[in-house]
Amino acid sequence: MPQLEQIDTYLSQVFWTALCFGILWIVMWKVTLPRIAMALEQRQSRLDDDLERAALIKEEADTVREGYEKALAEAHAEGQAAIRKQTAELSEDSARRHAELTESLAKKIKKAEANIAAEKTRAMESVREVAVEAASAATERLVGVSVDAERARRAVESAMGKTGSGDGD
Amino acid sequence: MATESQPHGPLEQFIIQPLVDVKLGSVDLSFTNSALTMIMAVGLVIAMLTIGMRRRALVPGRWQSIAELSYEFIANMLRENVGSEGRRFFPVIFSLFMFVLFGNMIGMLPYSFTFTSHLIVTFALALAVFAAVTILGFVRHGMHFFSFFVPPGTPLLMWPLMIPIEIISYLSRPISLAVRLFANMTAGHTLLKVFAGFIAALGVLGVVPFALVIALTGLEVLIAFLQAYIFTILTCIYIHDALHMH
Repeated sequence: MPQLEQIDTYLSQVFWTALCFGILWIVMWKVTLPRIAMALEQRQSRLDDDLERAALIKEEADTVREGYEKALAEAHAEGQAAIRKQTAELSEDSARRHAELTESLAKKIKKAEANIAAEKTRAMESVREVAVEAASAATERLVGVSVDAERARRAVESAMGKTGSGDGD
Repeated sequence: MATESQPHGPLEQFIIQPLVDVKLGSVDLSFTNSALTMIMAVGLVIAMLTIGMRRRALVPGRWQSIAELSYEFIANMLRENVGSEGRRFFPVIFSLFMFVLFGNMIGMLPYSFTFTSHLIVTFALALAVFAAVTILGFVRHGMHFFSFFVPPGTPLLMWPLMIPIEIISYLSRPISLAVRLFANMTAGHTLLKVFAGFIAALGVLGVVPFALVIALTGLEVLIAFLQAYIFTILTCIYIHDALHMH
């Protein structure tokens, strides 16, 4: 087995092992590994940065959203208040107008009633006149006696009083 | 060389061949095929991890992913087995893993050489780990580190028995660490070569060993990774022992 037979090469093998391993060690230690570590660190810090920034942006977005929601709620409340106010004004107005209308209608009704009453009185008056004239004319034709106006009126009035209120004829 | 008598034997692949003779006085430090693969392994690791990290992109590309995954793989291993104190040992543990892994993997290429299949190499690495860990233990705990050889709660009566057992177990660490890697690599590569030899010898029936060689190659790749992992994780566990004692 050459491994155990070539004893004269042992020193050279150990020497080259030590040299090569030494070179590898120093290069890894001083150059390669720090570079890899730096790359890994950079990536980690970049990731952390990005996460941090994302958190910041999210916070900002939340603030904006909150503001928006608040504004929305305010606008909503304002709108509601305006509607309520308008409604109240309108109903008050309509109530007022209703009252005015009712009043004016009542006035008109009263006036119309007064007119009617006056008209009725006048009509009754003229009916009485006609009745008196008719009574005196009938008396003159039937009996041939001329009745004076005062008597005839009295007679008519008493007759009308007998029949009641006398507004039936 | 010993191979000339048995050409293309299954063990021929382990022969050290000097490529450039280097002599320091009477000391032979020749640049060999083993040294060449070591330099290839080191060059490959450095190239791969350095080129991968050339443009430290936020979203890593393929090579950068490999570099970052290797980094995190070893970093996690160290954190789980040693704890946060292990950060200091990260460069050496990472280099150790990469050195052994690439040594094993380059050996999987045809006509290449597996420097981890040489006991002296694995033993040198294991001894270095052992020495470093022992020094670490003494620096950390002083003479108190000797209490490592007495598991807590051992009855006084058992001490004469436990202390030698613990010392032997402690001293056998570098041997088991070295032999495990060396034996796995040597056995795997020998087995591959033996089956590969059957392919030509059996003619048409050589399809069977050929299929086996393909399957074994897959297995060997797995073992190449696994042994690098085991070598590294055991080192981590030894560091943990030196820092925390049991």
